Amino acid sequence: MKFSQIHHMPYTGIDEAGLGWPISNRRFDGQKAVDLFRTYLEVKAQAEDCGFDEIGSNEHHMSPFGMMPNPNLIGAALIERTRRVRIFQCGNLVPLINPLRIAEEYAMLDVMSGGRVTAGLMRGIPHEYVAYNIPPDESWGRMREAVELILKAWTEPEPFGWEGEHFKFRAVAIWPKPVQIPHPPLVMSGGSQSSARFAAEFRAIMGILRVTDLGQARELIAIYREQARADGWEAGPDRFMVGLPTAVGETFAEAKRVMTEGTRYFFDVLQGGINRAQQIVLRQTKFNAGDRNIRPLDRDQQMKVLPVEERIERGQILCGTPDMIVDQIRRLHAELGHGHMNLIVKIGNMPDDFVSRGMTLLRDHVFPHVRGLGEPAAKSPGQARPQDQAHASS
Amino acid sequence: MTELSFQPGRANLPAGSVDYACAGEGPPLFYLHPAAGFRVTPPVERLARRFRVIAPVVPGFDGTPLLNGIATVAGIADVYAGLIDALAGGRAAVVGQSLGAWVGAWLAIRHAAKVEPLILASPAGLRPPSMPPLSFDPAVMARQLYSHPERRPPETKTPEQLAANRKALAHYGIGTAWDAELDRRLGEIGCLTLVVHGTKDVRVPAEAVRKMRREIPHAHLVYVHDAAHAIESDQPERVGALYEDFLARGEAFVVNAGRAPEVL
Repeated sequence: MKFSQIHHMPYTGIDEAGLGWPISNRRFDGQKAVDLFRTYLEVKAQAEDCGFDEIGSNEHHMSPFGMMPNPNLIGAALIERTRRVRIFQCGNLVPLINPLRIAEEYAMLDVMSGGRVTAGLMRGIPHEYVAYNIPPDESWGRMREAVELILKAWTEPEPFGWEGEHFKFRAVAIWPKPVQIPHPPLVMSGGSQSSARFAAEFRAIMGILRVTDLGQARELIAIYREQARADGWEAGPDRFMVGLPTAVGETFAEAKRVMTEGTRYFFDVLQGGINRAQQIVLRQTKFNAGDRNIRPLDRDQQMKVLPVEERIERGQILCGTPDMIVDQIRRLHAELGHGHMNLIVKIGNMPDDFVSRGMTLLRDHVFPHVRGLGEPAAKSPGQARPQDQAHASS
Repeated sequence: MTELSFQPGRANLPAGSVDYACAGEGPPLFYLHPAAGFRVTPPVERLARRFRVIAPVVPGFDGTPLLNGIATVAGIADVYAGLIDALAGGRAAVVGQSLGAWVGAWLAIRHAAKVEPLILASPAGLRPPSMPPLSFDPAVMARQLYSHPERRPPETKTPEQLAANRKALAHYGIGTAWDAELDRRLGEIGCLTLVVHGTKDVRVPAEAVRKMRREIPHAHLVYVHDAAHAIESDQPERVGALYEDFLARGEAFVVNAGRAPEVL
């Protein structure tokens, strides 16, 4: 089992709930942000010392719940603070920005890190399309075309042009190219049936980044496996990454209290009216066309109001003492057969010293007991697997 | 928009007579058809609104006779060179699709002064013998030719014509899809060249178009997203606009012309 650390770098200097969307940035305190960035970068980099395989940085726009509109800047900062751990960009929102810029920046990070980048190619969540003024109806079309263009930019040995529906370029030859051959391993979201099939088509690691319940996660994994078989290959555990909010404490009471308060703060304060923005997009557009009953609009509210014990039972979170976390990870693995976990270590306004201590507890008392889960005998951790990237030379 | 109609013509050359279709007014442009024979695809129709498009029929295709002593693709190019002299004053833009691109490449090698510029779309002739041989089974071809089968044009040729065309293909040795001499001599193509390839084209390997981009001194390569081998039918708007832009602006086609490009 491999472990990634995710930290959204939230702005925790506001306390008012129900601020709508987007939240006015007149509340932004520059010195507070300076202090937060310093702390957050330290906590993120600490993941290397705590035995994580990857440090994840993700892209979100126009919201205090994540201050990484360009996660590649954070990735660059982490490269300078680390030596071994992989730099997991999870990742650029492919339909929203210039795909060649993604190809170039990920290639830069790969070179700067000596080949440590894991390349997340994400579709984004609905409100991001409002933020960047991209038609949500074009989401899947832009996603597919952009991913194919990025792969071409990484792997094509001769200068080329691109004539597509959404993107036109007449002279492409990026410098640098990635160090990893043919390109860094891919991660794509598997939050819906369509995205699970899409991830399998590109043989990407599928990130089920927020599990609503185990049944949903099992269904998505089954869809991925089915698509892989249809394409003539078998998906092993290393293709599946399960992402969970995580709170590890010395006592269950402490972990439960911090998780409860952090979750409340996340949904009530940081997310502001994002759900409202999401609803507008989803009801007015074909953003999730073709998918059924995945990511219901009230899912986040369910996650907020459910008791911690119920959320643990549903496989939504990891929460408790190290021994409890070991049991929860083993149970999840028995249910889902995945080979990778993505631990969201800071939820809302969780205290930073709690986050830091929790990572130490994971290193000392959790990881040693669960490392072997889902790990194929011959695979070496953290390496690009060129043979898994069928599209690299197409 | 005025309705364009291609008119049949016949040129009597020293090698024999060659049939062609012709439409439009403007500078001369030779359109060289694929192995399926000549069709007025949307990009071809678009060309005929800016050029005098001359589309010769490969001898032996569509009921025309083979010519004595012409049994190779390079030989077809030699015949077309005479046609450029006869119908276009000795120089023309050349657009070739698949087999037509194979002919066009030879035309630019053996008759360099007669071609400027050159577009090689889904270019045949450089499929290495190490790859599985091309299938001419109709069901396989239908899958390999079209990413969007719904855009496949209706068949206008009779079964007899199609059978005769397949026989002509064999006459020119085209079934092998590998022209070792062309492979060696790509660097002799001196004119400005655009190579166009569909991202879903499995009949022409990407390595073939990369080699063209690498070895033809003034070549550009453009991938057309979501297009298979029958690129003009699969993505007519993109391919038509690309042809038009390259023919109008030459190397400057790499520059974004903005909302209202001044072409021609």
